[in-house]
Amino acid sequence: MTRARDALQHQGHYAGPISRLLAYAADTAFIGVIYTAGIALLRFAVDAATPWTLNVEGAVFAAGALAWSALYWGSSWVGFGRSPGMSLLGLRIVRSNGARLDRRHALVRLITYPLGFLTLGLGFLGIVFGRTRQAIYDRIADTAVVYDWDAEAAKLRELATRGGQRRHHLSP
Amino acid sequence: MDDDASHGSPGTDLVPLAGARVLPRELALAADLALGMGTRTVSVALRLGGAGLDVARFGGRIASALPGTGLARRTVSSAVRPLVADGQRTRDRAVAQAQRVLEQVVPTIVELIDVDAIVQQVDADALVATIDIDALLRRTDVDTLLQRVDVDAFLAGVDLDTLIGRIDVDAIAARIDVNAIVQEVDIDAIVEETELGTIVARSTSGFASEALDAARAQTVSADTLVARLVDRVLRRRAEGPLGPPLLVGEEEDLPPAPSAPTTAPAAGPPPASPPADEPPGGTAP
Repeated sequence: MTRARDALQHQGHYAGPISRLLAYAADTAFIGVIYTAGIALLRFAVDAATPWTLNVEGAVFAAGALAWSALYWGSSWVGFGRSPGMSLLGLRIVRSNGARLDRRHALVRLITYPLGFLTLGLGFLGIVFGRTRQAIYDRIADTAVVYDWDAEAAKLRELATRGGQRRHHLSP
Repeated sequence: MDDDASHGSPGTDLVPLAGARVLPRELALAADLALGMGTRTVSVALRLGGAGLDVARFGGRIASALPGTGLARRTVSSAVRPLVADGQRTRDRAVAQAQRVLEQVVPTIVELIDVDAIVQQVDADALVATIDIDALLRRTDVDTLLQRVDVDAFLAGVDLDTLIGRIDVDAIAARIDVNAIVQEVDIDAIVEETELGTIVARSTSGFASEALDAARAQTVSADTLVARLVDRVLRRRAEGPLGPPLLVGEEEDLPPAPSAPTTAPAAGPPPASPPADEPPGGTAP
């Protein structure tokens, strides 16, 4: 088991495929839950407040989901340099040299983000096999994803918890 | 005291009392002769008297054994008792008079002695040189001596503020290598072994934080495992860059970024240069 003490050594290093996949999954879940909840709430409000019924299905639903996804990722990348899913996994988008992600490169990354899917997943292979763990959109936008979670605090928490448990066992 | 008294060498010459006159030499010689003869006479008389006393005691013992001795003793005793009383009174008066004279004379003599002059004539170095300090120390019971020292009273008399004010704390602090001391401190051990760690844990963590720490650590472990697997499959031997140059401490030719992210540069070996065989776009061959 890799403890937080060991993970501390990886801070600032290129993030691997498992972390990024889990972050993407978390983001997708957030997007889906928030989008469907928002649509349901909107539909309930329209039904309750107006004589009409809101039908968001098919292409409209997909287009709305796409727009919401772009807004979700774009705003979080531009504003915070990381999406909520990446925050959960302790990841951050930076420039390829390690500098803070600026708005222009964040937007370039957002525009080229679909290339990973449009290339039938080949655009993601760089995350697995590349030395710098860059997908195709990272290459184009000159960005990289690194570990950036408060591993120092996590290490202290782990040490404190372990020491407290040992003292608890030693006490009569 | 006469003014002439101050003209003499202090402490060495006794100044004649007021009204005293110096005797002529011939008269002094006659007086000395008379005193010497008197002294000899008294000495001889005392010796003869001592011998006569022994004879008288012996005679007394013989006489006390004769008849009528008790009556004679009482008669003599009653005749002698008034004489003894007169003698005793005379002796008491003489002793009292002598005491009064001494009480007046002794302070005057003490005043005439110049103690400072006496001390100045003492060779203190020679006096000290005669003292065997080692022998003195050997005979000294230091423990007993220390037990008699009242440390509390001594400390009560010490002005600590003044004492501390004379200490150059800055100079002392400048000689302390704080960095070396800090490097010796095992922060991890302190956090793990003391209540400080518990305080840190309570102030920074909850169940969610600990679960998140564990999940993140697990994903880092999984990523490392995948990376090793890929390197083995692709038969990579040289280790690639660990992270962006600004985050892992590697210098780069790129212009400096306007600001670095909050991530601290991680410790680790400097990353190697990217391999030449890496495919465009970072994808697998």
